[in-house]
Amino acid sequence: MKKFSVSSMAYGCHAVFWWVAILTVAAEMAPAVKNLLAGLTGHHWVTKSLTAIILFSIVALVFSSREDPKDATGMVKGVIFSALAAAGLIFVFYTLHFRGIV
Amino acid sequence: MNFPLIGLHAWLGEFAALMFAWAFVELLSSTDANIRRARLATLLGVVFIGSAWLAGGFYYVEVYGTAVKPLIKEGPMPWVHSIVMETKEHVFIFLPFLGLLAYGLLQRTGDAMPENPVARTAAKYALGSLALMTGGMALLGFLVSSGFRAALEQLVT
Repeated sequence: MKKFSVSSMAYGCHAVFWWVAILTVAAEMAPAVKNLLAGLTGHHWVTKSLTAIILFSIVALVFSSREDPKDATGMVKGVIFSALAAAGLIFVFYTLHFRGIV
Repeated sequence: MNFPLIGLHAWLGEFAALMFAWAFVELLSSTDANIRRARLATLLGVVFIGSAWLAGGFYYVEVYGTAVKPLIKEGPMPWVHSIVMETKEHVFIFLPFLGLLAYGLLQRTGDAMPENPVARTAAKYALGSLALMTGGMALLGFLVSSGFRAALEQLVT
């Protein structure tokens, strides 16, 4: 893990959170997207999981040599905010979807 | 006989939350021993949450969709699947990556933490949020189990 900068892992987290959130909403709104995801591995959730691992690995590798910030607190707070916002988007979407609003 | 698999998933997830909470508490102090133990606890948390992902994922794909989801959707608490489970299964994917970030922080900046309290602050934020989010998954899991139980009770009454 020492090979990867803190920044590279933070960017990887941002990328994964929003990839999963946007892909989830897109798959529910467009059956063709969900079928494509399911067709790749046999289950849409498995495809989301595997692509999340691949995306994190690529982003972490690309930015691995980026210098660490002197104080990473702001960067970590940003990642936490991103996680909560992406989770909130998923929760609100499924709540509206259940109510038949979207 | 699927209960051991979902039990394993819950056990691993709850112990991951415990490991992240342990690491957070270690970082309230700043000796070399605290940092060493925080690294170990965070590594264990990442291993546990990754294993919970595998165990829960296998159960979700092989069992839940055919044996549990239809009953919940026909039961008195269909929102448990449509909102709670749908949210849980996707937000859970965030946690192993947040765990890797926390472990990476301790690996990259841990040596400076005894002399530099600012370096610990970032790791404390990451580990505190991980402990809360991982613990939150247990709460969502409880709701899913409750929805399944309510559906089964409806069938026998």
